[in-house]
Order: sequence, then structure tokens, then C-alpha cells
Amino acid sequence: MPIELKLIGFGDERPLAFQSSDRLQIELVTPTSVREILHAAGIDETGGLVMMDRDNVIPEHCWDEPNIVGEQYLTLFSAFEGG
Amino acid sequence: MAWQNNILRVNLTTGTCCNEPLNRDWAQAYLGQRGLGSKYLVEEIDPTIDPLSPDNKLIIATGPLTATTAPTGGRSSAITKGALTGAIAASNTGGMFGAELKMAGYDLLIIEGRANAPVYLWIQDDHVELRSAEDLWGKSVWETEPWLRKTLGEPQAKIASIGRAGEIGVKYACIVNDMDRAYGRSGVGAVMGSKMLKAIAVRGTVGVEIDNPVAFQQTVQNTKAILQDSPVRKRFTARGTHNMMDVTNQFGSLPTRNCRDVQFEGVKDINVDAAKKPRRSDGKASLQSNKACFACTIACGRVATIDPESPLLEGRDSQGGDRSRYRPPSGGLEYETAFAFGPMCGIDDLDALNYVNFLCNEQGMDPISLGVSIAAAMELFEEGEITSADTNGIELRFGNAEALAHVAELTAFGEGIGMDIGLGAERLCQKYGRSELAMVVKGQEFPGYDPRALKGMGLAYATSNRGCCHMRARPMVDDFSNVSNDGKASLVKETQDLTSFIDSSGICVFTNVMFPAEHLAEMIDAACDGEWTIERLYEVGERVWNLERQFNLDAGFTRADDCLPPRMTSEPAKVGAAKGQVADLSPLLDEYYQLRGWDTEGAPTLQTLTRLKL
Repeated sequence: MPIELKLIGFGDERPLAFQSSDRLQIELVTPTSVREILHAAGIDETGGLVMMDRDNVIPEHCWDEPNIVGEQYLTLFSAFEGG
Repeated sequence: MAWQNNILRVNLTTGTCCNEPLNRDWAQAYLGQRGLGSKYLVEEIDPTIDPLSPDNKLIIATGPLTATTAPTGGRSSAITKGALTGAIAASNTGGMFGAELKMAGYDLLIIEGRANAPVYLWIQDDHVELRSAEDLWGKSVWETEPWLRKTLGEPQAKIASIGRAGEIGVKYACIVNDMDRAYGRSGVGAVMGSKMLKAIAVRGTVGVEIDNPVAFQQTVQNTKAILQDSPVRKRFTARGTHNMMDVTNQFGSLPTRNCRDVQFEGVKDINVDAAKKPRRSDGKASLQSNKACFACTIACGRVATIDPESPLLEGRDSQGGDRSRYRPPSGGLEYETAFAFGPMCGIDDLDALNYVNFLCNEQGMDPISLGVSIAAAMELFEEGEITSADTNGIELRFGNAEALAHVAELTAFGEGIGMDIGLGAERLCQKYGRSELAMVVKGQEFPGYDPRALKGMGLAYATSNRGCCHMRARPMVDDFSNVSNDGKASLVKETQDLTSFIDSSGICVFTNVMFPAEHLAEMIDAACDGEWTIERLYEVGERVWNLERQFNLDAGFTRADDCLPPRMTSEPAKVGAAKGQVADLSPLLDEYYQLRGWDTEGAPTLQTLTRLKL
């Protein structure tokens, strides 16, 4: 099932899979996990990242659970500390 | 070692300047900069004094790593009793000024008394003199700096000065150095203005002695390598702090229209991407480049321009100043500035944000406090408390960019409704009978993180010793992934202690997410005499925090001041990750006090004071 992943706060430091866009459609066998989605998007370094499913934060301790069933719009934040 | 072991004390009442040795025991206990400066302030002033009286003191303090090759080692702090808050103030700046003061041979500059006519201070290594500033009084920061360099015949002089705002006593006036860096918060510029001190010019050529130069060089190199590879560092360099706007907006934690809302529909017109987009008029982007402070390899500072065809650059201000003076590139938008003049005031005009930012640098005003005070005024206007008669016809509504620019000018020059806005949001809202509309803690205005969504930040705001502040704790990464009170009290306590020792060291607090604090401990250990471990630094941080707290309690603050505005605790967030939620501070506060070793009223217990050797 298609999953749309949107980046916020990465600027030009996007993972290569995104090319010049802040959005990426990922086709994965579902259910799957946040970790698998990030891996498919070429993101293995996850420090400071926050994942939201629409308005709900997916806690990091749930990232290995197969709770992503598809047709979902996920937002990945680069939540470093601003000033 | 690393300390210069030398203090410069300047009494403006008597016109005397003298050197005295640094108290070495205090340096070992409080490190430097914010901690050491606070120790001197606490020992030397009565906490109950009027901040604008001659009895208040203004201390410019460097840290042991200031003016060294430690990455970001150019920081210094201005410590005083804050004009805005009446609480202890410690405002931290970058740029070049602090390093120059240290290289002139001083750890601390203590300014006391009040001159009977405007003066400036000229420090050239051990040559120190007070000179008349009659010709400078009334001039902006941008006029003062070149005037002084030319008059002194010293193009390398570094300068910290106040603009018109500090002279006329705008409560959140700041001290600006190097044209666009600032000791920004709590009204330290108003204190400087009350002393009739217009500027401090410094030229320093003395080096800094390092305890173990070989070990220091090695640990600095290692730390710089980590910094260079840090993905966070890369984003700071590429996009600056302004990058945070997209994150807070998407999350629903971007204070908007005086915190009525938590998301702003106009973000796409004022975010980093908008600042990088070529304009129609000249094909250039507003954002021209980035720039760095002393010894910094992050370079999060921005340089920006206003659209040359913007009507904001036409005509003259109320003082007769030609607005085209804002055409050249100058210090650009930080996240806090962009939030305060943008979403907080409902403004989606990038040029207006840059215009008012330039004005703040030029006339010396804290952009956070100015923006939030204007936002309060806009809500008072929309509620009918402030009328067109009060504003001399200005339609002071959310979203009116022209009104934003106009009232910001009036504030800098102390005219019309600007006189009220210059009091700060708390006094402004009290004057118009609507105290609840002031987004402040301890009299200081909100930064750009809404505590209904960011729970740890709410506690950090409430307990910050200098009034509402986002830099006194670092709970944000956790806040974005954990929208609950769980774990926040301990996180806030720990990161308050962390920031306290970083702010006492001479390096920039932004490094805390780029390399582990253990590297800071290694650099201090190599630079300074004594054994410095990460555990010892946390103890220093906790000591500094409690010292500041005790000062505030002695000044009259109580548990009741550790609070958030009623809007945060009674009006739920409308959208975003915390939709339907308010900030629930009370249980957090009890847990926090317990972790701190304070009693239920928020006072450090005797046991805590004894443990920390206070």
C-alpha cells in the first residue's frame, strides 16, 4: 500500500531518495513499521527525528512495531533545537 | 589559566577605573561568564533595589574558553538586575566583542554608579578611560560603531552600545555589539542607559594562557571534527535557526496572533524557503549569506536585504531618518525574530519582518519582547481596549504589516502608543485593564514555542530565573516526540543545569545538540587549572541555578511567579499535536521542586544550599 512521507525542516539536506522534493511515495508491504519506512527512504540515522501520523506523534519506542497499514500520510520532522 | 585573573571595575559616579584580581575561589566554583558574573552581582547588590537606580550594577563577563580556539569560544554575558523583570538577568551574546574584552586582559567588567552626563568607555589593553559621549547620545548603534572607530583611530575596535531605546528606557532595550549581535533579553540595555553609558569600545592584544596547550589543541581538534560532521550543525549552517518555523508550525506549537492560535497560515511566505527565493524586483533572494561569530564553525547567523522596491524603504521616519538606510545587507532573521514579528503579530510580509529586525539592531531592542508586546497591543486594539485615538489613527490589527513597522519605530523613539509598547507586554496589558492578554512569565515575553504542545518548554518558561526563556533549558527534542508531562520535570532540571554551565564556559549553547558535553569538560579541563569532569560541571550548573533562584526569592519572587499566562492553562490548542490540550503545570512544578531540593514554596532547603556550598 502507498505511504506518503513528507519532510519538514530538512532544507537541502534531504535524503537522496527524495531528490529535490520534500515528499516521497513509498510502496511497501503492509503492515509495516516506521523503522522500515525510514530505511526504505534511505534514512538510517534517526537522532532528533520525530514522526507524526497527521496530528499524532508516533513515539520512538513504537517505531519497530508494524502499526503502519498504508494509505497514510506521515510527516518526518528534523526537530533539532532552535534558538 | 584560561582566566585572565583580572577584573576591570568602572565607577561612573566617581569616574574611576581600576583593576582588581579575580576571586580564584569563585572562578573554581562558578567557572565564568553567567555563573561567575552572577556570583559577583549577588555579592555586591541588594536584590530589592530599583534596577534603574545607580545602585544596580552591570557586569560584562567572559568565560574561561572565551577568546580561545574552542569551537564557538566567543561568548560573553551581561549580568544585572533586569529592567524588564526585576529578576536576575544574564543575557548572552556572540559576535566578536566578548573575545576582544578577554584579549584586552579582563575576565569581568563591573560597571557601577551613574555618570552625570553621557560617557563611553574606551579600553585598549591596560589603558582604560571614560570619555564624553555628548556627541553620541541620540545616535543609533549603527551610527555609534563607525563614529567610535573613526574617532578612536582604531578600526579593529569592537564595540557594544545602546541605541535610542536604551537611552529612553524601553524596558526591553538591549546592548548591541558588532552591529547585529546582542545581549538581548531582560532589558540590560535599559540598565546601561540609566547609567548614562552609551558604549564600550575595546581593543585587546593580550593572549589567553592555556593550562595544557597540547591537550587543549588535541581536544579542540577532536571536537571540531565531530562538529563538522554533525547533521544538526549542517542544517544550522544551511538554514539557520529560522528553520524551526516550519517544524513548530506543522506541530501546532507556533505562537500565533498573541497565542490565540498555534499554527499560522502565512508561514510559507516568511519561512527559510521564502527568504531564499529570488524576488521579482531584482532577482535576488532576501537571504544573502550566513555569517559566524568568533571561533565559530557553525555560522548560523544570517545576512539579509529588504526588497529594494518595498514601500517600507520609502520616505522618512518620525525622527526624519531616511528609511533607505535599510537598503544595504544587514543581520537577518533568527527564528525568534521571525516568529515574534511574523506569526505572533499575524504578519506574512517578509520585508516587514526584516525591516523591524533591522530597526531592533539599529536602535537596540529585544525583538522577542518587542514583537510579543506589539502582538498584545494588537489584541488590545481588536478587543477595543486600545482605540484609534490611542494609536493616532493606526489600525493596529493582526496582519497589518505597515502598522507593525510604524509602531516599532514609535517604540524605539518613545513616541505615541510606542511609549506604552515600550513598557513591555505585562505593563501594557495592566495599563489597559487586561493583564491576562500578556504572554509573559515574570514580566518577560514568550519565545516561539507554545507550551500547550511543548510540555517541557512550559515548565522551562515557568521556572526560568530570568523570566520567560527558551534558552534556559533544552527539552525541545523530547517535547516534539512526547506530548505529555511524563519525564519533563527531570529533563528540564537536568538541561537547566546543563545550559547553566555551558553559559558559564564561554562557548555557545547551540553546541549542546552537536557534540556531547563531555567534550566541553575535556576542553575546560585542558584549558583551566584544577580537575574538570562532566560531573563537576553539572554541579557548577546546579550551583549557578540555585544562586540565581535565591537572588530572585530575595528580590520578592515566589512560587506564584512560576506560572504561565491564563491563556495557556485555560484555552486549549485548536489544532496540531496537542489539539484540545492546555498546559497543566501544577503537578510538574511539585515534582520539579522536589528534584531541585526545594521546599513546596520553591525555596532551596538548607540541605540543598549546604550541598552546593551556597
